[in-house]
Amino acid sequence: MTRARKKVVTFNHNPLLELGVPQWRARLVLRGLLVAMTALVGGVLYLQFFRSEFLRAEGESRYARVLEVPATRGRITDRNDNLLAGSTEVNSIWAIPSDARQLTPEQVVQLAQLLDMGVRELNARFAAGRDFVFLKRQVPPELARKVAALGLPGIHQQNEFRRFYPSGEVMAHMLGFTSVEDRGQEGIELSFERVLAGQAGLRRIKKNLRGQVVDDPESIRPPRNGEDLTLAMDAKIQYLAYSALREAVQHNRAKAGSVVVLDAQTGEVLALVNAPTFNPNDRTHLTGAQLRNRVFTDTFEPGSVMKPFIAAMALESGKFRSTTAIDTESGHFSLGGRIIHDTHSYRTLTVAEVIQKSSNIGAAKMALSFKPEQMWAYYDRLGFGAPLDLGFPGEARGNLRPAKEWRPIEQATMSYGHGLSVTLIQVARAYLAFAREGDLLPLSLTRIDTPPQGTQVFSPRVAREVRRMMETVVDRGGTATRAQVAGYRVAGKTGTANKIEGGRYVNKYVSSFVGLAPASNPRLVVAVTIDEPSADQHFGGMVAAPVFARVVEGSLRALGVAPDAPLVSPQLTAMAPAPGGL
Amino acid sequence: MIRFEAFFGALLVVLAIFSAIGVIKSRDVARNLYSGLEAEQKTERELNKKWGDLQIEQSSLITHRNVEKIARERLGMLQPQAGQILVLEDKP
Repeated sequence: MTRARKKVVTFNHNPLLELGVPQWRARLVLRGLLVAMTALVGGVLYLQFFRSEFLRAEGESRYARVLEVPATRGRITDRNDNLLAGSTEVNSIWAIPSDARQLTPEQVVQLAQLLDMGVRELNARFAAGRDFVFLKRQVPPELARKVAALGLPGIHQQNEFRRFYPSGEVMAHMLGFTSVEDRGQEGIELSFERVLAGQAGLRRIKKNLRGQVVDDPESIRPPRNGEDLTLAMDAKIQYLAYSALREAVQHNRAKAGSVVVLDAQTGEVLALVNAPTFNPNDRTHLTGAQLRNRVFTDTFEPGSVMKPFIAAMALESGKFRSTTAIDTESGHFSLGGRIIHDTHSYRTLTVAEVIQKSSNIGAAKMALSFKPEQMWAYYDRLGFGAPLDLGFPGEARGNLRPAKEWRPIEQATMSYGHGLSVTLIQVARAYLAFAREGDLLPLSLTRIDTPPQGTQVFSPRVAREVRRMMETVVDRGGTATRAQVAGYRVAGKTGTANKIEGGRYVNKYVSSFVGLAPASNPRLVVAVTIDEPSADQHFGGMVAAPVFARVVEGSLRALGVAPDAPLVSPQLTAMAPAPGGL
Repeated sequence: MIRFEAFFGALLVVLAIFSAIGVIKSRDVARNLYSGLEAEQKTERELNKKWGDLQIEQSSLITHRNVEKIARERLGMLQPQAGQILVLEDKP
């Protein structure tokens, strides 16, 4: 302690301090220091309170990054878990033009060859004023690896998802497709977009100088993968319907055609095909006609396929029984200044025969026994004139005018399906009433385990009676013997309607057949339309009924439904080698 | 009293140093584990992608069109006619 004190004393007695320095110099330095200090403190306060946001952001931008975590789109499978649509990761090649302009001409040629693009085209992209141009989207992984191996400056890659549809054009209209941005554009892909689409996640990370992720401080939003979707569709039945329809459209030189298959027990849509169709994996030359999902978007005058509904209404009213005779005026019936014709003329027909022979006059006379409101109410309950709202884009509602506007001639023509328009899916659904015990189910595009509650339209007794009438349509003497299926009892109704162009009926037809099988305990409703058949036939029984038969035969076998008719078919008697051989 | 305080102070300093080393060590472990996790997640993504690709390949091989073509053309198979099928039903 004493030594320290001594030091202080020595310092105080430093001879340098004895020099007479003027007072103002010390003050000047002191003030200078004070000013500098104030400036410093002011600067710090300014940075702390006024610039801190900016500075923090600047700092973070040096090491923190927000990364997008990709989410996959859900897969689509059929009811038996066969994959119908799946996504696979692909790479897209993109460039920063200002960097890419430094490539040597040889490098550009090399890149152009790999990408299968012209050198001029490539240079045009590099000349763009933007910071980002896609060179080629969705290239296969192998090509992406080769491009990466070149190590060119300014050329980058990005992971994307590409959708593949293994069954190609067979399911094109049902499934639809996605855009290059992985968003649903048509069909199931669009109507179930919210289920299928995933949501990319975001996470904030810290990177070191070499760009490695050093820390995972927070996940802003975890990625949510899209959910898988199981359709009601049966891929096997769909393929059967597709090949039967394609053959029929070619054979009849028709403009278009559609087939719908419904499960009569659950209301599920087992198959839905249109012709012409397209390949969803290669959509470079797509036309509007190919793209049309006619089952939902095209309305047509249904023609005679409406007659069973009129027969059911007639039976339901109690004024008719299936054996009640109706005067069919020998094929000419004038009403309100117009004449209703039958294709074949009969003097009288029973209600059952009106269906079997497809008599317009018989149907008209039954219809005229109702008030327009009664008939409208039935058509309305059967779902005509209202969309099904299954979520398919561009669904048509059809046209069913209000009963107030109906004149008697219109009410009569509407009984055989003229003067109203429907979609094929509406007709198929309405036939559920006959395939079931007179009740209708809501349709479902996805697989369901417990069938929904139906709404009763006709009584079970009437539904069974009309079903029996429709069985006679395919029997000998009916209009659709070609709808017969060996081993099974089937029931259905033909339709042949003139098309309207510019408000007039023209010599073009829509041929249809709607039916159900097996008639003893229906499992399927199959509806077929062939649009403008231009070979030698145009009647529904000749053009559309064979498609029905082919689809029903294959589908019932695929579903393992036991035959409900004795197996005496012309093929068997011709082919069986010996009795009891099989 | 003074001796005790000095000892306690020294102890705290030593503890602080050890805990500092512990922090450094555990951060290092955490980072290593994290980069391990990153690598595993990358493998998972790659395997998932491969699985998806294989599924697509499988389902394009077993499309009904393909199966029918092979059955008819390569194996010479035919659709059975209605009379050639025998349905067995189990009696209760």
